[in-house]
Amino acid sequence: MEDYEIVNLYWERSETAISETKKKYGHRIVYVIGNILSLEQDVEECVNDTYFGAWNAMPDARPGYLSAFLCRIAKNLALKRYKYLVADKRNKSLETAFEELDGVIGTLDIEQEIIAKQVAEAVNAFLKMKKPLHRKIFVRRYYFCDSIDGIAAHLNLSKSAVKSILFRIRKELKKYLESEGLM
Amino acid sequence: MKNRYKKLYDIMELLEDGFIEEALEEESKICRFPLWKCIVAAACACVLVMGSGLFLSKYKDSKSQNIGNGEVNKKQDEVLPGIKYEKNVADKNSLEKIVCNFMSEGAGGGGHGWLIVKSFEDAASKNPTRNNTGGITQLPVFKNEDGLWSDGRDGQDFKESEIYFGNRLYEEKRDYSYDGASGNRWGVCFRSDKQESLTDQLLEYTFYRLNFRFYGEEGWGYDIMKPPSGTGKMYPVISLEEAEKKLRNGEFFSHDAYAVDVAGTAQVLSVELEYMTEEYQSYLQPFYKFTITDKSWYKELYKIMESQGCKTPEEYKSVSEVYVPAVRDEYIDIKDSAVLRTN
Repeated sequence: MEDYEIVNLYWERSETAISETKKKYGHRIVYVIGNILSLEQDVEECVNDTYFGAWNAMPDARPGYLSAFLCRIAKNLALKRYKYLVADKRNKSLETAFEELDGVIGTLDIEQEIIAKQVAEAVNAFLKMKKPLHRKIFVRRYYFCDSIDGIAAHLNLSKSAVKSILFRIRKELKKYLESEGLM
Repeated sequence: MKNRYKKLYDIMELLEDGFIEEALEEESKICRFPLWKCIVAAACACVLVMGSGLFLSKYKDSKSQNIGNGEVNKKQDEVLPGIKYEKNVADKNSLEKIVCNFMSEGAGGGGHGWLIVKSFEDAASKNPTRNNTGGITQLPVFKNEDGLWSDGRDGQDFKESEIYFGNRLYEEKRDYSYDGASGNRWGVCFRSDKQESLTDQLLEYTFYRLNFRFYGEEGWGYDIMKPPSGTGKMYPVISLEEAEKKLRNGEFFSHDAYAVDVAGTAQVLSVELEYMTEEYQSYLQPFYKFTITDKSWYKELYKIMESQGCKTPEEYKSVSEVYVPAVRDEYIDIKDSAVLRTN
């Protein structure tokens, strides 16, 4: 089923919207949540909450990219639960990914929302110039917090290749932000 | 999540939807190179395993090699840059501190090790110092250089490659996924000469190597290591006993953030000296790598494997690899995580 048809089902309040979403994007939602939460039970509950979140959001939302829309809901819910569970130190992959990026963007004074937006725009512009493979690796690591192993397996690359590419992208991103006067 | 990461999270949340969609696209399972090349590749890999295969040469002007019958020009590896290092610690008082950094991969979810294997041998290396570290009191440290690893080569014939090792060994490791059915294989071909000193053998294992990766039935690729061109500076290293003490105190790096939970109880399966060779590292320096397992991991591991459809989880074992810096404490400046090289 096409995305717009699924979105229409949500707008029509048809319960098949959820089963169709599950059929088409269920595995992606599990992937997003699974990178943040480890225990199966937590993941499962969060997946169900994501469908519920989508049900509540549409209408009014009519997303252009349904998959990205669902992933954002899933990621936010998973992070909320992660914060709750963090005392039990369930999964550190999230913080590991942010630690890597911290040296590039973390040094910026981005407390103000307007600066954060400028940096985000610059990151988007930078990514547009990158090869699709490099972009995928970057997004999987720093948006989805996927592990190096997971990225390597998904993209048929060696772990050392993934690490090298990430290292180079971070270095280039830092240079790019400097050239844009943001650092 | 730490507060300081909140702003990073906010920025990443503003990534364009198109990038998110793109990253989630299913990778097509196409073979990266034609079937005939896969067959040639498989044949070559077999040849390697049997010790009669061959490799490469960027140095096209050297004598030609014949892959078909295994005739090779053994002088080829003489044109590789030699690994230069000081033979002794010059002056302990004047040795400068080196940065020791490690980037965790965030592997492991707690409750079990980060590799699932059927046999402990699945995770065993052919490192010449494996369970043979005795007597090494000093090792050279090299400044990292750009371009440590070549870009990956997928399906490229060895004939077109760049290095040939006259004497070589082949190592293969593997692990399994939670369902027990699929997994990864990694191969390493490295130059090896048992007549050399243990230090030289370790340096050859580290720097004269090709790392292979296999894509199931679909193909393979490899990365080539570029040996350091600078002269290694000799540093004193701790003894195995001192390293074991650090292991038990949890003073180690690991890709598995939870390995520290079992520091006191873990069973050591093997220990070897290993150089970490990642681009982000400021210095290429030795670590004691302990391969460990722990009884407490199995209950959780089997539960997860069963839930993922594995019918015989008890056939599997769980291991982690942890790294104790080998250079003596007074000469290293440990960074918890590495983002960019400082040199």
